[in-house]
Amino acid sequence: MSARGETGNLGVELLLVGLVLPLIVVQLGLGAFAGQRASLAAQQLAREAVRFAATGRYNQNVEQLLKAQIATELGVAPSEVAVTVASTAAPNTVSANARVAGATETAVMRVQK
Amino acid sequence: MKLGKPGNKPTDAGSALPLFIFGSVLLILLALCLASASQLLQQQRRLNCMSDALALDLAASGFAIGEQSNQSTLRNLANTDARVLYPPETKLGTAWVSDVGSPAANEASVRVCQQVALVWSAVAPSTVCASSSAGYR
Repeated sequence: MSARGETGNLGVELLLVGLVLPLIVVQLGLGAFAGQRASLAAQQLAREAVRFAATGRYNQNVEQLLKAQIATELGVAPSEVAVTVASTAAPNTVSANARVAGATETAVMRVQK
Repeated sequence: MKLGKPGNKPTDAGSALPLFIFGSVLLILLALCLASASQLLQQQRRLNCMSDALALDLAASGFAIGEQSNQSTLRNLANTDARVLYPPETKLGTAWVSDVGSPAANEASVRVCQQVALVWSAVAPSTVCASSSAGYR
């Protein structure tokens, strides 16, 4: 180590390591959390839709209400929220595939008699 | 404020770099902890959806739930149902039924678990579980 080992340029250090690096970390963290938030919302939407479908109460009105609720809660455009309900290959089962801001989740339930 | 060793010329010359690096590493660790916690919550919500479906199925299956039921039959039923609803290629395909029971007649409770891949999973594998109970009327 040279005699100048502990001498640094505070301005450069403060800018690069003290400000820029933490800002990048925070930015990446916020991006990841936004993705997880969308994923949680997609899960909620899929779960609610499949419950309606399993009890035979799923229709266009329900779909619109569920989508509007999620879009309002997340503050995203309604076009970014989509849900599809369909029967699966397994007998007496329905699945709901929800997409919210790019995140996709699926929920499956057996039709309740 | 002037700092320095006694006898030397007082000076505050030095590097703040170690402090900044420590702060940045702390921030990264905090972000990883929060991200992992969020991932665990997300997985638990998925498993909750699965355990709800299994518990409802068991309660409504027509199986004589109650005094006549036995643990292994219920467990087999739950495992079969789990693979039908969530085949191995799905996100919940590796989840397993860890506990199943019938607390009362026409009621069923199911607990499902799954291992989650977190940042530190190589050091300490993380398992998430979720339980649900359902009644059939």
